[in-house]
Amino acid sequence: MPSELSKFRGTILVEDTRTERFFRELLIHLGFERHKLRFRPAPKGRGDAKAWIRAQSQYPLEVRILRKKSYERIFLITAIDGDNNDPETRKTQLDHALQAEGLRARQDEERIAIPVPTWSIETWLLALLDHEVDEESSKKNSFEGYYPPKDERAALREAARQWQRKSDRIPTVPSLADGKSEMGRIGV
Amino acid sequence: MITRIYIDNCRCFTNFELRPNRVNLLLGNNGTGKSTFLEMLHSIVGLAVSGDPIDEAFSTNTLTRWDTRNVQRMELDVNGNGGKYRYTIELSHDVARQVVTLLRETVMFDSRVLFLYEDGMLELHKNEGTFGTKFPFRGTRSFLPQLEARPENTLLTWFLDYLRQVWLIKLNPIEISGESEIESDSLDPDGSNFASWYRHFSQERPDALQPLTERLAKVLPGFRTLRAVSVARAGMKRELVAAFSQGEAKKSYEIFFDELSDGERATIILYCVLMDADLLPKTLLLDEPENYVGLELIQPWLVELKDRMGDDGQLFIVSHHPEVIDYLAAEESILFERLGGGPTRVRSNPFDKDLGLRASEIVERGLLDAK
Repeated sequence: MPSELSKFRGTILVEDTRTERFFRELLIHLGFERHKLRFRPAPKGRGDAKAWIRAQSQYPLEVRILRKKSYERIFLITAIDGDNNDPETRKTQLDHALQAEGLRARQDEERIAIPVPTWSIETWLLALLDHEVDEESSKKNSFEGYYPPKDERAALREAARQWQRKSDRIPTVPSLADGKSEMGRIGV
Repeated sequence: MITRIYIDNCRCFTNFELRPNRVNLLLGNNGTGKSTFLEMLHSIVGLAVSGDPIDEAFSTNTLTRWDTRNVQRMELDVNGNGGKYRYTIELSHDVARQVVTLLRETVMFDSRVLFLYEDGMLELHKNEGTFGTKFPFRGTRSFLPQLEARPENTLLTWFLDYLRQVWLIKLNPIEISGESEIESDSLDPDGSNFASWYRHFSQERPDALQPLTERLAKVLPGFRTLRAVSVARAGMKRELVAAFSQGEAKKSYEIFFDELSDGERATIILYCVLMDADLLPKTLLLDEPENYVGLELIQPWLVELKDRMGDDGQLFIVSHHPEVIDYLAAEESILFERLGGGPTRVRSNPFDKDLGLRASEIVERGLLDAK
């Protein structure tokens, strides 16, 4: 029997393809329907992917659409790297991006999740895969040391499977706990 | 994986080199050589695996018009089987007589010669590169498709097996037929032999039929099955028939494949290709595959294709479609350009994220990074 989550349509804004692949594995693992997910990755090229996500035609536009269709089963995930900031900094920046377009800030009841891995998604991936990690430094390069390209897909799938497990790494990766809380906004 | 393609003095390619990634979105205005590039790549592969006559694959008309040289050179580098292959062909054109001759053809593996044709003589070397045999050969086509697999040439046969999985797909619904006389283990670029390939696919991949049906049921309302049925008193001839159901009572009915819409037929073919992609890692050369597919289906198909191709597959896709561009621009975009109408040149990832626009909008507005 299809889960309740499979009835939802979702848009997922991401900075890069690895983040996209992780959230795709995660959402499908959790019971969302593959065909009902739309990924909007930042294009590869020069410039700042975080600024791209905050730009008028990305996050604010998607929020505007979600609010117009709030009676429907739709959700928005905006996965954005924290770098050396805490998640609240990024969420505040996204609220400001909304306000700059004349929209109100994100409301508690809205199905908008903003998962913000400190530094980048690799911090979470290593934590979910039970490596000893903290948020003191970027793990972007060390991830490929553990998981070369041929092993990446399996690693992302395993990380997605571990999402709901109570992770021992939570105390050293607080952004992951925050991210799990964020995903609760869309019913996960 | 193909790591390098070099083409010289062929159509709009002069001293042209491209070093692709695993997923490659080919962008550019009309006439910049994107589709031609896919065709050239397919023709190079066709020489080695299909035995296509050289003057059909590379007629004198393929010489670069503004170039006065009469020799074409193509190179294909492939990483795999624990090493690096290089396939090289050189063709000589007699323009006045419209005759094309194979000057030289080689396959190297980690700098060792596996195969060499030159001056009308053909040399086959053993896996370790030592000389095997030598005999005269007429260079109107490649000898490689005739090569017999033997223990001493496993490196060479691996390479040819790899090339057999390089598929060009440029669907033309008008040519797609639901009738088949024989089975075929490959799909023609225009999809015209789909029924023959589907017979082979359904025999070889019975495990794929159920998931294929499930996916098609999601994208084609009411779809239930696709099967090849015998045509009365017509020997081996088969005709593809699709079964659908309709209404709340799910009353079923059958319809000949040829009676489906262009979009339905293209969708079925693309999902069959997708389901086949994980059995044999493929290099797919896709020329505007989205042309006949519903907007809502494009990204899910691309996503699943990327997943199913796995680590050993490779994708080259030509597209002008915003949905394709926006999704694949996060991977590797290769911009084809012909400055001043000259030879094709390429640049990678010409997007400026600080514009805050989707990749397709950057293309549409002509805001790609200037050279």
